[in-house]
Amino acid sequence: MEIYEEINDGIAVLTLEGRLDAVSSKGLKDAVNELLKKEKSSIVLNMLKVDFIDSSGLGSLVSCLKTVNNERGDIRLASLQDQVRAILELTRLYRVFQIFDDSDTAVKSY
Amino acid sequence: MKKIKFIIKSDLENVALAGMSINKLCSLTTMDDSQSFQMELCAVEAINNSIIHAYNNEITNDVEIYLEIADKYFQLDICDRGKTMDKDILERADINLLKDNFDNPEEISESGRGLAVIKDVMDKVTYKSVNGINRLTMIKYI
Repeated sequence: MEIYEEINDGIAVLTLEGRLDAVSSKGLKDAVNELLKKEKSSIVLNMLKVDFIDSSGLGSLVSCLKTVNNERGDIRLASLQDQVRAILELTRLYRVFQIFDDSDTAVKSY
Repeated sequence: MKKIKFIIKSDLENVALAGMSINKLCSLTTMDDSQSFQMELCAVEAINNSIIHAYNNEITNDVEIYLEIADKYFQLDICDRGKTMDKDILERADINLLKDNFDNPEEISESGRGLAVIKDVMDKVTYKSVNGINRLTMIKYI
């Protein structure tokens, strides 16, 4: 999975591309930890190009949320593909994330 | 009825290839995109379990994947020769029984959803170990 970082109106946006699974989940955690080192704890994950997620990927999202919450920040999700959204709904995890239709709206929500 | 068998080495790096292959094969049938995705998801979850739990992430073993396409059902079998899973784990796996507190992210589990997802998506899930071969069988009726 590729991860691209940008700052939009002071909010850190990580754009993810590919599969969020057992292989790539560590990369996401590392990217979030790097943002926290730079004192960026208000984070948007742009998931427009994430075409697959499994329970390991879900676990990494939860792990990142806990880590960021402990720094008084938040992780908000944007642009979920239908299949990815369906998995979040199946596991009820949509209840712990704020989910937005697009990245700009998620940034403005802070 | 059509049957196909894959064998991959027990390396997590190989799981995506097997999963995407299952998805593509299913998409060439009467399954729609959502159903094909679900078949991929269940294959990935089961293969991950074999690699992580049965083989303890040791990458030199084989994981066998069987896809059977019949008129009224799709069947996925994932086989390994590693540590046998406690049957209670499969019986207890249930999305509705996960002890997540959605009001407090600190009380949400980061793992342990794989089998529950499989049981939610599939119509029938069984597990058996015979002569050292562990087999998780997942059936989706059409």
